[in-house]
Amino acid sequence: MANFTTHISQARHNEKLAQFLLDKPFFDWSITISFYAAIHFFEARLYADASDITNKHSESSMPLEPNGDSKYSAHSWRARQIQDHYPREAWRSFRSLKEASETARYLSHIDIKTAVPRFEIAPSFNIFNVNNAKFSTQQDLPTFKSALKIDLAEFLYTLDLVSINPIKAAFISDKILDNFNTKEALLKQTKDSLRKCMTKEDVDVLEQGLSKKGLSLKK
Amino acid sequence: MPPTVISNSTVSNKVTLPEKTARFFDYGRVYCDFIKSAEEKDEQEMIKCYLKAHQASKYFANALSNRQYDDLVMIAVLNSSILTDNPNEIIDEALSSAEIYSSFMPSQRQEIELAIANRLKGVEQVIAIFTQRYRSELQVMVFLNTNKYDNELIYKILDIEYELQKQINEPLLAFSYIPNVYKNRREVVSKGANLIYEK
Repeated sequence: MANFTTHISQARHNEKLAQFLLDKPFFDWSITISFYAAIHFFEARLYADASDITNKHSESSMPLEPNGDSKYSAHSWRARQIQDHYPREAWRSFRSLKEASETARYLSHIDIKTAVPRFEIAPSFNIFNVNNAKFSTQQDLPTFKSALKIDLAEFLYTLDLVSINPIKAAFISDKILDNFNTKEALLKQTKDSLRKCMTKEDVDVLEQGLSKKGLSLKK
Repeated sequence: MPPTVISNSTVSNKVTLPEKTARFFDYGRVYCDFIKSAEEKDEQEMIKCYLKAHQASKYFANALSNRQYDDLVMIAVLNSSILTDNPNEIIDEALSSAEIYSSFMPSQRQEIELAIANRLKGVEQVIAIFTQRYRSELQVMVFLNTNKYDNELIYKILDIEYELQKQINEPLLAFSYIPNVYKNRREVVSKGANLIYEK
């Protein structure tokens, strides 16, 4: 399964393609691609937040039936995790992307019992206009990324705190993500101000990570 | 005349107006609650509870008075008279009738379907709602009267969905909002899907 860097790379790749297609005749596909970018951003955040290998991916935390089958579909379980652990606007933008992409993607719906595809009477480019595509790509996706604090999560990941303290790294990242929205806001902190939400040892680990990148907290 | 037991599926297939169904079950529940609470009280309080149950039973009978539930109306009317005319016999009768009414109380799924239908029916563009089981999810297919995708409408509906998702933890609900682009709605739901609301 992919790690943080792979998920972020794929997410940004998808995001660029979604933007690229907006002024093309295939603008409806930018909706679906934005949704898949959102999935990779979420999986990246999950990977960064996870304290152990069993909860680094939405699939690996999926509840199972007694016979070993997954209890839920992957998309539904992901939406539930977002609802339970992240702000409401993260859930709404993710659900909006999922909804639009499923309508755009499925010119057919699969009948669950018979597995027979049933076709709509209108193709997706007749149901959507370019403004719908822009809504997904320029409103929902940025809102989702912002609510998940993807930029800050990515910055923390690059500090490689795991190599400094593998036990506390995820905990320190969680504390920072709970208390700050951006990298800039974090770097404006002093050691003393960070002690309001972290222990001295945590702050030391963070400082070492920053130092490796040539950065430091405010004096 | 023995009561005709209506299965959950029969009830849900016939009842497509959530507010009527909700009233029906509400009166039944009030009745059962009074009977149950009477068991734990002294004689005087018990009689008061039964009298309240009698009143609830009358409302229940009124709520049931449509062609679909003739047998239940008879039972409810019968219980109303037993509860007032034969106070010495009311305990056994009341308990047995409470048991009968309990069997008509909605299942967890029906309660959830009622909650969903009651919340979404207020959205003008919602024209039908189906539910179907998939794995351990309850899939909720909401059909809209729009034939173009409307992001603002979806946001409005998602705000309602969020409240429902927070209220109902189990089973996991998976909503879909489907534009009016199908020839036949039944083509996009499974054969066993349950129509819980239709405009």
